[in-house]
Amino acid sequence: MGLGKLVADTTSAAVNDLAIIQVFSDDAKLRKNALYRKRPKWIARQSPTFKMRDRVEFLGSSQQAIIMSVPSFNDMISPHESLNNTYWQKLNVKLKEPSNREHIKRLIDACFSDLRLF
Amino acid sequence: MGLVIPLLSSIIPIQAALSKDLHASLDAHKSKLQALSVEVLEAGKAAQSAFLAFGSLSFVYGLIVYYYTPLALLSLDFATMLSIFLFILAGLLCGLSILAFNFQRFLEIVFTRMFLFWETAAMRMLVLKNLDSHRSRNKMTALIYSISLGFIIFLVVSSSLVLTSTQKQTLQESGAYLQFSANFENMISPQAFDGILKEHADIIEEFGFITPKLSSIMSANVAKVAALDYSRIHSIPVDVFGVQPAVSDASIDDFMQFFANKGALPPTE
Repeated sequence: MGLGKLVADTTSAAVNDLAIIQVFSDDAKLRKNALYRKRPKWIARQSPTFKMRDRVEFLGSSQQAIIMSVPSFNDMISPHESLNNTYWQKLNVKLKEPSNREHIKRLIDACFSDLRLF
Repeated sequence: MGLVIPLLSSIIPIQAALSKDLHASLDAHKSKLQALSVEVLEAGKAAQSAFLAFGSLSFVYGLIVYYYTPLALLSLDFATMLSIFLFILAGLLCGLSILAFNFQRFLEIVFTRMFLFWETAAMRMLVLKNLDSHRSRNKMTALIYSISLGFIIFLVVSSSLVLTSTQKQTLQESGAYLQFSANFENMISPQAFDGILKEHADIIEEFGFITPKLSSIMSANVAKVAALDYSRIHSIPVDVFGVQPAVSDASIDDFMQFFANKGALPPTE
């Protein structure tokens, strides 16, 4: 698990030490509130894709992020959640030549032709 | 600024028009060019108002910078600090424009020799004398030109700064040069993408899937997530994401800054 320095400062979390994550249920019949003990492997001042900061930001900004492995994440959804049912929302791709517009266009065109829009 | 500059720019033409009689002012056929004149006055009779006005203005300018800069720094008032920096920059611009006047004669000589090198010395001297007679008008043109150029350069630099910072922020939020994302959870399917990624493996170095945040997954029935300390007194709301091990390799490394990391593996490994 990895987290930002602001979260670590607020919760006094340290690397390889246990941190507590509380999950609040939105339906008491379906799920109970739960506490999870997780062990951070790193603390970041800043991270790509995810919001991890080392200081308090202006009000109204989005929340700080904690990232973890997919099995741990699925376990927080439900102890019986299969990896095959994992939800995905983003796909980061690193090209061999990131600034090559022809390669970018080739990949995007392939997505448009192969994927079906709902 | 928007009020002062038009006011100042209209004062000089009005003064010039009022200094002549009505007939001379309205006569568009005759040249209004005046030869360079030097006025020698007794010390007691010299007009002090211009010096006093400039001195007072400089005094107020210096006082504002001297007083408000430390005040803004101490009170961490960034808006005031930026205004003062802009104020200093405007002063710098005006100062450099005035400084450019001192090089005007030197540049006239240099350019005359450079662009009229094939002419005789007498012809070059004639041109220089001609430029001397136009000096007051040339001075005004140089002033307007240098101030306009200064503002244009300032605008170009500040706009490029804003564009660069916006680009960096957007790039950090996406985290990769190429990212496919969906507005709803479960809209990116590895089964659908695997074929495409395999087909174009020759141009792809690495890729990694990212889950939506835990609280947005309907089947999880999670209202919110918080990180707590041991005493459970201090807490902070967080968004929890699951990532594939290769995500950090597929992201832009430059934006990763560790505070503490004892492992040798990539962050998401």
